[in-house]
Amino acid sequence: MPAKKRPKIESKAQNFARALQQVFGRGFGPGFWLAVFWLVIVAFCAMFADWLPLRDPLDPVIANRLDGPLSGSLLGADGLGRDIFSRLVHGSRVSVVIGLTAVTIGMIVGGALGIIAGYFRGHFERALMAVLDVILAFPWLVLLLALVAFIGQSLFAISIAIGFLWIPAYARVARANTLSVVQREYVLAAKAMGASTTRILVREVLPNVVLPLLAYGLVAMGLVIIVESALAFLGLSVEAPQPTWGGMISEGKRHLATAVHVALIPSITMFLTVLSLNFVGDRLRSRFDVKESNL
Amino acid sequence: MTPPEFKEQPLLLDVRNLTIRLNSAAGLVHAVEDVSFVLREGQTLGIVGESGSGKSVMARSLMNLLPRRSVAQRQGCVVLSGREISALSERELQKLRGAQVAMIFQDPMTALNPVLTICVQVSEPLQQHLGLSKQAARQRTIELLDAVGIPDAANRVDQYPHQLSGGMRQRVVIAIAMACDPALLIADEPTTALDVTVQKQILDLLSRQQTQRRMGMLLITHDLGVVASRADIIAVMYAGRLVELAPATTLFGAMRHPYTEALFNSIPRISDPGHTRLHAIPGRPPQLHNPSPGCAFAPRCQYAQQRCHRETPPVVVAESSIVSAKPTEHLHACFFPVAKSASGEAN
Repeated sequence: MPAKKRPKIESKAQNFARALQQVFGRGFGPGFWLAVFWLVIVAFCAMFADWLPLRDPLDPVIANRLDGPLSGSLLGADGLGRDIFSRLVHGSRVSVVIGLTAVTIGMIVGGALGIIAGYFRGHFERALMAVLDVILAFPWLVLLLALVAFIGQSLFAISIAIGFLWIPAYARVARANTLSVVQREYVLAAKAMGASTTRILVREVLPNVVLPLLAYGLVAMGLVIIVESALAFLGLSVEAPQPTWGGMISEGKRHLATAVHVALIPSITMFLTVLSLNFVGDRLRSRFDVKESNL
Repeated sequence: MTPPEFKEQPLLLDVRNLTIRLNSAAGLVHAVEDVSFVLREGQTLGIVGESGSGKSVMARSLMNLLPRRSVAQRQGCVVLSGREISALSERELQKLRGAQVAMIFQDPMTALNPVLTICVQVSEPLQQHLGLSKQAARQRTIELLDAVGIPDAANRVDQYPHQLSGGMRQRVVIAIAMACDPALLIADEPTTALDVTVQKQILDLLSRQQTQRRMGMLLITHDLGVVASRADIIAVMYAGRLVELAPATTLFGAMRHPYTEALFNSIPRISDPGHTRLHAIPGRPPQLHNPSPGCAFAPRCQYAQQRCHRETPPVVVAESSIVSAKPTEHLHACFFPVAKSASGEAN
């Protein structure tokens, strides 16, 4: 009889890594990683804009006014002679911060409301859904303008305003997922083992609802960035000297006939960022869906 | 461990005249009608019936697990170790569930949460009911997994359910149920979703755990063969009613209700010659909303007479249950009981 091989003890981390690998292991394709690469660059710019060796984004050098790309500076200069590349890098900060905070606010508030509504049903659910339908039926731009006029134009205030707009969407996603999770036998099994309602919500329902919420979050972030730039285009986002992508497009529209790049470059940057977010979000979502159906 | 005494074990579960009606889109569903039975400590009660005969609803109602919205009426009483279940608050029920009464569900694929590790799921009730620390609970979890026959338990604890096979998952589900040494285990079709070889292993595991821990067990199944050798008492349910209840040996020796007989005859036997037609019960199980008067089985019963279509037969003690000396009575609900002794006993 051969000596019994002692099974290798795997650590918690190794097991977790293996589970992750089974979910993410199958190839995503180069497009996905390209999109991730772009998002990493944007995130890096947003975090370290102040320490990067860049020209001052607020410093007007009249001599460089409307310089084209690759003439003296990398991407040229805008109508006031400010360095476009530097402004792009600093502008990413606004987009990323607002994207993250607005989505987080929407996710937490909307997600919590949606889970509670989906679990307890009854009058609360009906009332909440009615209110959310009203909010959804309201023209979002008008609502947003009203909110911004009311709570101000700081980075944080704008994040809250946009985040508020996302609550209905998130509540709906969370409620729909909760409704399907609550039907599963493991929720009943947990209840049969004496789990309290809070425990069921936090341990059984939440982890299963969070994945689709997070995947939806990336797609939502792309939309938030567009909403923010729409505000900036109307001059209602973060106040003037602070560079934002939407603001740069807005300023560039005056020079469209003579210097297209001033508006085009931030447009392309934003386009790429939103595209990447959608792409990554969509891939992750479909991957999670596959996982669900495999179980 | 003390050997179980078989004389007069204390009463574990006493269900009396339990009636449950559920709301549905099609109207009131008479899911459970006037069901009574008792279960003593260490006993196994097998509940047999077709799909939709109210087995699961009955099992879930024992611990008030049915969604409150869907229960339209609930009558009768369920007494567990001397405590009336419907009188307990939700808090008290939570303390009872898992600690006193545990449940095993049909499909191990869905009975485990896909995003939590085995360790978390098994140690949850340990931490809650026994107040163990996280570390102690983890240790206990490994012991439990070992006890239910999961090889290499120390490695398996941190795995996720999708990394285990169906049989392994059902073992984990059993480990969760055993975690707090419950007095009563309700196994709701524990082997239906598993293939036959694994079925036997799981059933053996259940009966082993049961004798070790002296649990009472409610084994719900639609397979007469499953309960045949494992249950002390067998209850046959049809259309929400208990149609026959007897100690297993008595039942197979002298079944009284035509439905039991029909069920028994529809088991394929290995001793049958080749190309034997499988006996099936003609017709379909009745709809449980607005039941017609009379015995629910009458339309499908080959012995049915006029009276069967008019009156609902009461549950009575079988007249000739003198064959067995066991104190437990042989009950049935039929006006014209068959007096057949099963000739070809299934193993």
